[in-house]
Amino acid sequence: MFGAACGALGFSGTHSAKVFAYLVLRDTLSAATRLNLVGPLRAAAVLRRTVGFANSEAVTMAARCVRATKRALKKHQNVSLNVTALSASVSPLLDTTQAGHDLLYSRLFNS
Amino acid sequence: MELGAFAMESVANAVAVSVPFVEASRLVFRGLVEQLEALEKRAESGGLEKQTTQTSTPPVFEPTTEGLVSRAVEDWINLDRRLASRLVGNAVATRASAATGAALLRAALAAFGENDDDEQGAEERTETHEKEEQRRSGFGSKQVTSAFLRVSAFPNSKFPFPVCAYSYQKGLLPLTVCPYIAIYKIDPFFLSTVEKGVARRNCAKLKATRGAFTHGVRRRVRCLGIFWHAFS
Repeated sequence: MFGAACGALGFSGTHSAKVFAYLVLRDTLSAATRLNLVGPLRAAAVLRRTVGFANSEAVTMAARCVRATKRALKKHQNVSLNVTALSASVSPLLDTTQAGHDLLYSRLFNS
Repeated sequence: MELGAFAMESVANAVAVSVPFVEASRLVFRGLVEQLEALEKRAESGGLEKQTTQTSTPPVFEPTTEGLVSRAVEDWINLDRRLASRLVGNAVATRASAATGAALLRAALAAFGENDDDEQGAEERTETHEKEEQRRSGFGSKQVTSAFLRVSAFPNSKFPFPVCAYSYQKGLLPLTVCPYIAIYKIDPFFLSTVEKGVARRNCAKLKATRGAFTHGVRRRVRCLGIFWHAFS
Protein backbone atom coordinates (compact mmCIF):
# COMPACT_ATOMS: atom_id res chain seq x y z
CA MET A 1 0.00 0.00 0.00
CA PHE A 2 2.85 2.33 0.87
CA GLY A 3 4.57 1.63 -2.45
CA ALA A 4 1.33 2.12 -4.37
CA ALA A 5 0.77 5.52 -2.78
CA CYS A 6 4.40 6.48 -3.46
CA GLY A 7 4.05 5.40 -7.10
CA ALA A 8 0.88 7.41 -7.60
CA LEU A 9 2.48 10.44 -5.97
CA GLY A 10 5.48 10.16 -8.29
CA PHE A 11 8.15 9.44 -5.68
CA SER A 12 11.39 7.88 -6.87
CA GLY A 13 12.36 4.40 -5.70
CA THR A 14 15.17 5.68 -3.51
CA HIS A 15 13.01 8.35 -1.92
CA SER A 16 10.21 5.86 -1.22
CA ALA A 17 12.67 3.45 0.40
CA LYS A 18 14.17 6.25 2.49
CA VAL A 19 10.78 7.42 3.73
CA PHE A 20 9.76 3.82 4.47
CA ALA A 21 12.92 3.17 6.49
CA TYR A 22 12.45 6.43 8.35
CA LEU A 23 8.83 5.55 9.20
CA VAL A 24 9.86 2.12 10.52
CA LEU A 25 12.55 3.73 12.66
CA ARG A 26 10.19 6.40 13.93
CA ASP A 27 7.47 3.84 14.73
CA THR A 28 9.92 1.64 16.64
CA LEU A 29 11.18 4.56 18.68
CA SER A 30 7.75 6.02 19.31
CA ALA A 31 6.60 2.59 20.50
CA ALA A 32 9.57 2.50 22.87
CA THR A 33 8.63 5.96 24.12
CA ARG A 34 5.05 4.88 24.58
CA LEU A 35 6.12 1.82 26.54
CA ASN A 36 8.22 4.06 28.75
CA LEU A 37 11.46 2.30 27.81
CA VAL A 38 13.04 5.64 26.92
CA GLY A 39 12.12 9.26 27.32
CA PRO A 40 11.06 11.32 24.29
CA LEU A 41 14.25 13.38 24.24
CA ARG A 42 16.44 10.30 24.32
CA ALA A 43 14.29 8.74 21.59
CA ALA A 44 14.82 11.84 19.48
CA ALA A 45 18.57 11.59 20.08
CA VAL A 46 18.57 7.90 19.09
CA LEU A 47 16.53 8.76 16.00
CA ARG A 48 19.03 11.40 15.04
CA ARG A 49 21.91 8.97 15.57
CA THR A 50 20.39 6.06 13.65
CA VAL A 51 18.65 7.81 10.77
CA GLY A 52 21.86 7.79 8.71
CA PHE A 53 22.04 4.02 8.99
CA ALA A 54 18.37 3.72 7.97
CA ASN A 55 19.03 5.97 4.97
CA SER A 56 22.04 3.98 3.81
CA GLU A 57 20.17 0.67 4.18
CA ALA A 58 17.26 2.04 2.19
CA VAL A 59 19.51 3.40 -0.56
CA THR A 60 21.37 0.07 -0.85
CA MET A 61 18.14 -1.91 -1.07
CA ALA A 62 16.60 0.52 -3.55
CA ALA A 63 19.69 0.22 -5.75
CA ARG A 64 19.42 -3.58 -5.67
CA CYS A 65 15.74 -3.30 -6.64
CA VAL A 66 16.64 -1.04 -9.56
CA ARG A 67 19.26 -3.53 -10.73
CA ALA A 68 16.72 -6.37 -10.47
CA THR A 69 14.19 -4.34 -12.47
CA LYS A 70 16.72 -3.62 -15.21
CA ARG A 71 17.76 -7.27 -15.33
CA ALA A 72 14.13 -8.39 -15.59
CA LEU A 73 13.37 -5.89 -18.35
CA LYS A 74 16.47 -6.96 -20.24
CA LYS A 75 15.49 -10.61 -20.08
CA HIS A 76 11.77 -9.89 -20.65
CA GLN A 77 10.86 -11.43 -17.30
CA ASN A 78 8.21 -10.47 -14.76
CA VAL A 79 9.50 -7.36 -12.94
CA SER A 80 7.40 -7.85 -9.80
CA LEU A 81 8.59 -11.43 -9.35
CA ASN A 82 12.22 -10.49 -9.84
CA VAL A 83 12.09 -7.53 -7.47
CA THR A 84 10.17 -9.30 -4.71
CA ALA A 85 12.56 -12.25 -4.92
CA LEU A 86 15.08 -9.98 -3.17
CA SER A 87 12.91 -9.89 -0.06
CA ALA A 88 14.47 -11.78 2.84
CA SER A 89 14.52 -11.54 6.59
CA VAL A 90 17.97 -10.61 7.87
CA SER A 91 17.10 -11.00 11.52
CA PRO A 92 15.14 -14.19 12.24
CA LEU A 93 15.60 -13.73 15.99
CA LEU A 94 13.83 -10.40 15.82
CA ASP A 95 10.99 -11.99 13.84
CA THR A 96 10.61 -14.65 16.50
CA THR A 97 10.65 -12.25 19.42
CA GLN A 98 8.21 -9.88 17.71
CA ALA A 99 5.63 -12.66 17.70
CA GLY A 100 5.60 -12.44 21.50
CA HIS A 101 4.68 -8.75 21.41
CA ASP A 102 1.16 -9.39 22.68
CA LEU A 103 2.54 -11.12 25.75
CA LEU A 104 4.51 -8.06 26.85
CA TYR A 105 3.21 -6.76 30.13
CA SER A 106 1.99 -3.21 30.03
CA ARG A 107 0.46 -1.06 32.72
CA LEU A 108 -0.77 1.52 30.21
CA PHE A 109 -4.51 0.98 30.48
CA ASN A 110 -4.69 -0.72 33.86
CA SER A 111 -5.78 2.41 35.67
CA MET B 1 19.93 -4.65 24.23
CA GLU B 2 20.58 -0.98 23.64
CA LEU B 3 17.65 0.82 22.01
CA GLY B 4 19.71 2.23 19.14
CA ALA B 5 21.04 -1.22 18.24
CA PHE B 6 17.53 -2.70 18.43
CA ALA B 7 16.12 0.08 16.25
CA MET B 8 18.86 -0.43 13.65
CA GLU B 9 18.25 -4.17 13.63
CA SER B 10 14.51 -3.59 13.18
CA VAL B 11 15.07 -1.14 10.35
CA ALA B 12 17.54 -3.44 8.57
CA ASN B 13 15.05 -6.30 8.82
CA ALA B 14 12.06 -4.24 7.71
CA VAL B 15 14.01 -2.75 4.81
CA ALA B 16 15.26 -6.16 3.63
CA VAL B 17 11.78 -7.67 3.79
CA SER B 18 9.51 -4.84 2.69
CA VAL B 19 11.43 -2.48 0.40
CA PRO B 20 11.30 -4.89 -2.59
CA PHE B 21 7.53 -5.00 -2.17
CA VAL B 22 7.36 -1.22 -1.81
CA GLU B 23 9.37 -0.90 -5.03
CA ALA B 24 7.27 -3.49 -6.90
CA SER B 25 3.95 -1.88 -5.98
CA ARG B 26 5.44 1.57 -6.68
CA LEU B 27 6.32 0.40 -10.19
CA VAL B 28 2.79 -0.99 -10.69
CA PHE B 29 1.08 2.27 -9.73
CA ARG B 30 3.66 4.51 -11.39
CA GLY B 31 3.04 2.50 -14.57
CA LEU B 32 -0.71 2.92 -14.15
CA VAL B 33 -0.43 6.71 -13.81
CA GLU B 34 1.85 6.95 -16.85
CA GLN B 35 -0.36 4.70 -18.97
CA LEU B 36 -3.49 6.65 -17.99
CA GLU B 37 -1.78 9.91 -18.87
CA ALA B 38 -0.68 8.52 -22.24
CA LEU B 39 -4.20 7.25 -22.91
CA GLU B 40 -5.69 10.61 -22.02
CA LYS B 41 -3.26 12.44 -24.31
CA ARG B 42 -4.04 10.08 -27.17
CA ALA B 43 -7.78 10.53 -26.61
CA GLU B 44 -7.33 14.31 -26.60
CA SER B 45 -5.40 14.26 -29.84
CA GLY B 46 -7.98 11.93 -31.41
CA GLY B 47 -5.56 9.04 -31.84
CA LEU B 48 -7.95 6.48 -30.47
CA GLU B 49 -10.80 7.44 -32.79
CA LYS B 50 -8.57 7.29 -35.86
CA GLN B 51 -7.49 3.78 -35.08
CA THR B 52 -11.01 2.51 -34.57
CA THR B 53 -12.22 3.93 -37.88
CA GLN B 54 -9.43 2.35 -39.92
CA THR B 55 -10.79 -0.85 -41.40
CA SER B 56 -7.90 -1.98 -43.59
CA THR B 57 -5.48 -2.56 -40.71
CA PRO B 58 -5.98 -5.49 -38.35
CA PRO B 59 -7.88 -4.57 -35.16
CA VAL B 60 -5.65 -3.23 -32.40
CA PHE B 61 -6.81 -3.88 -28.88
CA GLU B 62 -6.56 -0.52 -27.22
CA PRO B 63 -6.28 -0.62 -23.45
CA THR B 64 -9.22 0.99 -21.71
CA THR B 65 -8.89 2.95 -18.48
CA GLU B 66 -11.02 0.37 -16.72
CA GLY B 67 -8.79 -2.42 -18.01
CA LEU B 68 -5.62 -0.65 -16.88
CA VAL B 69 -7.05 0.01 -13.43
CA SER B 70 -8.21 -3.60 -13.10
CA ARG B 71 -4.77 -4.89 -14.10
CA ALA B 72 -3.02 -2.62 -11.60
CA VAL B 73 -5.41 -3.66 -8.84
CA GLU B 74 -4.87 -7.33 -9.69
CA ASP B 75 -1.08 -6.90 -9.66
CA TRP B 76 -1.29 -5.11 -6.35
CA ILE B 77 -3.46 -7.84 -4.79
CA ASN B 78 -0.94 -10.47 -5.93
CA LEU B 79 1.87 -8.48 -4.33
CA ASP B 80 -0.15 -8.08 -1.14
CA ARG B 81 -0.71 -11.83 -0.95
CA ARG B 82 2.96 -12.53 -1.54
CA LEU B 83 3.95 -10.07 1.20
CA ALA B 84 1.36 -11.56 3.55
CA SER B 85 2.84 -15.00 2.94
CA ARG B 86 6.30 -13.64 3.78
CA LEU B 87 5.10 -12.03 6.97
CA VAL B 88 2.87 -14.86 8.12
CA GLY B 89 3.77 -15.77 11.67
CA ASN B 90 4.89 -12.24 12.42
CA ALA B 91 1.68 -10.48 13.27
CA VAL B 92 3.41 -7.34 14.49
CA ALA B 93 5.29 -6.86 11.22
CA THR B 94 2.10 -7.52 9.22
CA ARG B 95 0.24 -4.96 11.22
CA ALA B 96 3.04 -2.42 11.01
CA SER B 97 3.29 -2.91 7.23
CA ALA B 98 -0.44 -2.40 6.76
CA ALA B 99 -0.53 0.55 9.14
CA THR B 100 2.36 2.39 7.50
CA GLY B 101 0.79 2.05 4.06
CA ALA B 102 -2.71 2.89 5.23
CA ALA B 103 -1.54 6.03 7.03
CA LEU B 104 0.21 7.35 3.93
CA LEU B 105 -2.71 6.40 1.69
CA ARG B 106 -5.25 8.11 3.94
CA ALA B 107 -3.12 11.25 3.93
CA ALA B 108 -2.60 11.04 0.15
CA LEU B 109 -6.31 10.52 -0.55
CA ALA B 110 -7.21 13.41 1.72
CA ALA B 111 -4.63 15.67 0.08
CA PHE B 112 -4.82 14.68 -3.59
CA GLY B 113 -7.79 12.32 -4.04
CA GLU B 114 -10.61 13.25 -6.34
CA ASN B 115 -13.74 14.17 -4.38
CA ASP B 116 -17.00 13.51 -6.23
CA ASP B 117 -19.23 14.73 -3.40
CA ASP B 118 -18.13 18.31 -3.73
CA GLU B 119 -20.71 19.15 -6.42
CA GLN B 120 -21.00 22.82 -5.62
CA GLY B 121 -17.25 23.26 -5.79
CA ALA B 122 -17.10 21.30 -9.02
CA GLU B 123 -19.63 23.60 -10.64
CA GLU B 124 -17.66 26.65 -9.72
CA ARG B 125 -14.41 25.31 -11.07
CA THR B 126 -13.82 25.64 -14.78
CA GLU B 127 -12.59 22.74 -16.88
CA THR B 128 -9.17 24.27 -17.44
CA HIS B 129 -8.74 24.80 -13.72
CA GLU B 130 -9.51 21.14 -13.10
CA LYS B 131 -6.95 20.02 -15.66
CA GLU B 132 -4.33 22.34 -14.20
CA GLU B 133 -5.00 21.01 -10.73
CA GLN B 134 -4.72 17.42 -11.95
CA ARG B 135 -1.40 18.13 -13.60
CA ARG B 136 -0.08 19.83 -10.50
CA SER B 137 -1.10 17.14 -8.03
CA GLY B 138 -0.23 14.12 -10.18
CA PHE B 139 -2.66 12.04 -8.11
CA GLY B 140 -5.95 13.79 -8.75
CA SER B 141 -7.23 11.61 -11.57
CA LYS B 142 -10.45 9.75 -10.90
CA GLN B 143 -9.04 6.49 -12.24
CA VAL B 144 -6.12 6.40 -9.80
CA THR B 145 -8.40 7.29 -6.92
CA SER B 146 -10.82 4.56 -8.01
CA ALA B 147 -7.91 2.10 -8.12
CA PHE B 148 -7.04 3.01 -4.57
CA LEU B 149 -10.62 2.69 -3.46
CA ARG B 150 -10.75 -0.75 -5.07
CA VAL B 151 -7.66 -1.93 -3.25
CA SER B 152 -9.44 -0.10 -0.40
CA ALA B 153 -8.23 2.70 1.77
CA PHE B 154 -8.00 0.26 4.62
CA PRO B 155 -5.99 -2.78 3.53
CA ASN B 156 -8.22 -5.66 2.50
CA SER B 157 -5.79 -8.35 3.49
CA LYS B 158 -7.33 -11.78 3.73
CA PHE B 159 -5.59 -12.24 7.07
CA PRO B 160 -7.38 -10.65 10.02
CA PHE B 161 -5.43 -8.02 11.88
CA PRO B 162 -4.25 -9.10 15.28
CA VAL B 163 -5.59 -7.34 18.31
CA CYS B 164 -2.98 -4.91 19.53
CA ALA B 165 -2.70 -4.85 23.28
CA TYR B 166 -2.20 -1.07 23.26
CA SER B 167 -4.89 0.06 20.84
CA TYR B 168 -8.39 1.22 21.60
CA GLN B 169 -9.52 0.07 18.15
CA LYS B 170 -8.77 -3.58 18.86
CA GLY B 171 -7.74 -4.49 15.34
CA LEU B 172 -10.52 -2.66 13.51
CA LEU B 173 -8.36 0.04 11.99
CA PRO B 174 -4.72 -0.48 11.18
CA LEU B 175 -3.49 2.74 12.72
CA THR B 176 0.17 3.42 13.32
CA VAL B 177 1.66 1.94 16.45
CA CYS B 178 1.15 4.95 18.66
CA PRO B 179 -1.41 7.34 17.23
CA TYR B 180 -1.02 10.01 19.86
CA ILE B 181 1.26 11.30 22.65
CA ALA B 182 4.46 9.61 21.51
CA ILE B 183 3.99 10.35 17.84
CA TYR B 184 4.21 14.09 18.43
CA LYS B 185 7.47 13.71 20.28
CA ILE B 186 9.13 12.17 17.22
CA ASP B 187 7.10 13.53 14.37
CA PRO B 188 7.87 13.14 10.65
CA PHE B 189 9.17 16.70 10.38
CA PHE B 190 12.36 15.40 11.90
CA LEU B 191 13.07 13.77 8.56
CA SER B 192 13.40 17.09 6.76
CA THR B 193 15.29 18.56 9.72
CA VAL B 194 17.74 15.70 9.71
CA GLU B 195 18.15 15.83 5.96
CA LYS B 196 18.69 19.57 6.14
CA GLY B 197 21.33 18.96 8.79
CA VAL B 198 23.06 16.43 6.57
CA ALA B 199 22.84 18.80 3.62
CA ARG B 200 24.33 21.61 5.70
CA ARG B 201 27.20 19.39 6.82
CA ASN B 202 27.81 18.26 3.25
CA CYS B 203 27.76 21.90 2.10
CA ALA B 204 30.30 22.81 4.76
CA LYS B 205 32.51 19.91 3.66
CA LEU B 206 32.15 20.92 0.03
CA LYS B 207 33.01 24.52 0.84
CA ALA B 208 36.06 23.40 2.80
CA THR B 209 37.18 21.21 -0.10
CA ARG B 210 36.56 23.97 -2.59
CA GLY B 211 38.42 26.43 -0.36
CA ALA B 212 41.41 24.13 -0.13
CA PHE B 213 41.29 23.53 -3.87
CA THR B 214 41.12 27.21 -4.82
CA HIS B 215 43.82 28.01 -2.25
CA GLY B 216 46.03 25.35 -3.83
CA VAL B 217 45.37 26.69 -7.30
CA ARG B 218 46.15 30.24 -6.19
CA ARG B 219 49.39 29.09 -4.60
CA ARG B 220 50.35 27.27 -7.78
CA VAL B 221 49.48 30.32 -9.91
CA ARG B 222 51.52 32.53 -7.58
CA CYS B 223 54.49 30.14 -7.83
CA LEU B 224 54.16 30.14 -11.59
CA GLY B 225 54.11 33.94 -11.52
CA ILE B 226 57.29 34.11 -9.46
CA PHE B 227 58.95 31.61 -11.80
CA TRP B 228 57.75 33.62 -14.80
CA HIS B 229 59.19 36.86 -13.39
CA ALA B 230 62.44 35.17 -12.33
CA PHE B 231 63.17 33.60 -15.68
CA SER B 232 61.79 36.24 -18.07
